Amino acid sequence: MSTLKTNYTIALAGQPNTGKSTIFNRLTGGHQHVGNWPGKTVEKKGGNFHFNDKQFELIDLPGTYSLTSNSMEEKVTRDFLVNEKPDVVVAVVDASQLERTLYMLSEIILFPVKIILVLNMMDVATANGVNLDVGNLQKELGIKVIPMAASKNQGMPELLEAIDSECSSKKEPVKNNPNLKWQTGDLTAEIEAGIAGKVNAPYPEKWLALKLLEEDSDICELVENELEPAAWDNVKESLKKSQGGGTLLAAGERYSWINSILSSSLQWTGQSKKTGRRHKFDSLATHPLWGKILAVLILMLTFIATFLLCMPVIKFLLGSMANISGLLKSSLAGQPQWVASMIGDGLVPGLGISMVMISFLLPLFFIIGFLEDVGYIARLSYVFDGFMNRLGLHGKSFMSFLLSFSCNISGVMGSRVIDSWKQRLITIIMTSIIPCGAVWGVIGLMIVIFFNTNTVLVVSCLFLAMIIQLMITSMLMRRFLPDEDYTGLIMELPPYHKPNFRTIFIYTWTFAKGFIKRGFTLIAGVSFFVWLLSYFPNGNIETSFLSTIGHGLDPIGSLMGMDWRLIVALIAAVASKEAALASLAVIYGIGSGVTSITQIYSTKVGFEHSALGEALLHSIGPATALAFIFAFFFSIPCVGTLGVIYSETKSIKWTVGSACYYTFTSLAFGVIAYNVGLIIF
Amino acid sequence: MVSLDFLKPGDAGKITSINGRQNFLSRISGIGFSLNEKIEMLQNNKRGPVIVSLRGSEVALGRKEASAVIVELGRE
Repeated sequence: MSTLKTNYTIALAGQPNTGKSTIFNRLTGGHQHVGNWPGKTVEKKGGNFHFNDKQFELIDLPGTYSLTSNSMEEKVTRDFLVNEKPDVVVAVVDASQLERTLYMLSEIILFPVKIILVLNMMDVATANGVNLDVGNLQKELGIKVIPMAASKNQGMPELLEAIDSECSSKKEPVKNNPNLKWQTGDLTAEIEAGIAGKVNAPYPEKWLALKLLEEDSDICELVENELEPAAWDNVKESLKKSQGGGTLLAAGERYSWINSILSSSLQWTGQSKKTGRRHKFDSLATHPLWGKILAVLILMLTFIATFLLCMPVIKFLLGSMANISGLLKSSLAGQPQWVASMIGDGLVPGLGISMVMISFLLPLFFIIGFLEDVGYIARLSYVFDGFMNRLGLHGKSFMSFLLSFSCNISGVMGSRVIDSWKQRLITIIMTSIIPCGAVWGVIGLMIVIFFNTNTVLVVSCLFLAMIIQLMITSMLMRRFLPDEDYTGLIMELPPYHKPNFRTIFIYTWTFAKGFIKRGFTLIAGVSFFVWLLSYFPNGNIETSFLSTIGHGLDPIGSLMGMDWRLIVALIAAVASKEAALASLAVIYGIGSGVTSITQIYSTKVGFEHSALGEALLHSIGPATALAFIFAFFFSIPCVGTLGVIYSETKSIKWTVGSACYYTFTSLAFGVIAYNVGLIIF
Repeated sequence: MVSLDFLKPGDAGKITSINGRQNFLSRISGIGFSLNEKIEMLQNNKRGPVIVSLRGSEVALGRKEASAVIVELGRE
């Protein structure tokens, strides 16, 4: 007798907003790992759990509405079902919206896999007046059906039992199941007959026939390659009969199946909720004017709350950083000076910045998770969709852009609510164009020093340039990542839910793990590198590699009228935008007692803003100042932002690519501003 | 028969046809739209996207997208 199998792969499938991730979190707890699907930018979430001495690997398939080849998410799901052959597929639906959410099951049920149907949110359904005969539904479908309320932890033991018993069941799922109560349309039947036994592929024939009817490009190509030319011509003849309405025919067939399955099991009791009466808050949240005001207020509150929560921690971290750094340096007094500086000025500040970032990101992410969990994000996207469309983006990108005005890192994090990876990637890269609070701090000083009476004019020009930059970048991004799936706004407004803090906590925790793995190391690494450049070869920033690079970049600097000092300040801004002013102070010899740029983070550099202003005013002209303001406004994302870009995209290519792109555009804006300045002044 | 974007809040009807390219039709089908399905307008502000109710769900639809859905007015 062969040994019994004890390792199983379970796939979790379902439409968005069905509570799929709550179930995923309940099953796996914190034992999750996040990566990308091989060769794709689509996020792959997996986790493990044990039950009855067996080990289960749970794969969370992307939440999609159907299984066409229109988006990468949908392709990933169907490829997984046929290629990886999971032992069991758990299909999740929202019991309060069965007629719609069963659509995903109508696709999966045609595949030769074992399926368990989870009726999630049973509590909401019952409260809405849904009366469901689960036993009858189970009989009609021929698969196990588990009613659940995952947010209340109801039904979990039953689900675990069902997974276990399905996995050990000897009954093999059949391809082209004849017992399925499916009313095949005439045209589908004709196409199915036309391909019967002729396509050597893991897909079931009825599913293929429906996909052909839908003009699914991948499936059409597959079948065309498999069939003899004559047979393919016959199929094409049949397809022509749909007169272009094949997609709707196929969808109609699926919904008819859903209706026939539900007709004997589902009853609405009492007050049906389909009266079209809307929640008062929802009318406000989706109002064209008030909805926008509410959204901006909520996002501002999000930011304020994040700051209130993290400020004490950050204060403590910054305070102890200087102490730790000083302590380490004095205890390393016997060592060569560069060792002490490396640890005290290089490593400690690098790690310190990463920790400051985590303490800022955790509360922020928690609040974003909360807004999404209660169902508000869809409303926010709805009110800003038209506005964002002008930039070639979806409404869901709005939150990222608004949060970016305070900090680009939060903008990148905010992109998590965007469900299409292409749109999300475009948003992640584009948020760096938005000037964050720290950028305003630096250029604010420059503008006041040089253009006191023309502040409004300069700021207006900056905003105009920003809009141009947003439009150009969006155009380029869409050229690189053509979004063929773009179909305008078609978005579900999920019912509001009570927040499930467990889900939000696990969500936050999973993110933190990913950030520590990628972002943390990148940030600490880059900070350390900047230290290296600014310390070596002889511990003096004015003769360091950094200044050598600054001097080496003189030809570029001269295009903007800048000498090496301003170039170094631009480079230092990579580590942190706030650091640019302090770096300038150090370079101009106003700040004292600092040997390297990274030390600025751990030691407060005492310098008078007015003294720096004097020094700048005497050494550079207004055209150069204007060039610096523009170059700085559009400068390369700071290392913290690059860190989250990397931890969110998991792609070195996009991280480095965006750094290069923004370096280039920053210089371009600087050169343009300088030349315009030369004409004016 | 009118296109969906002409419906006033409270108007209800049945979908008689949906026009558009394949990926639009497949997206809109996946979210609940199909021929002969009942639909009700919840919010229509003359500009910007509309909100409709169908199959027990609320769906936001861009104005252009809504104009591609043809509806026969009237409750059953």
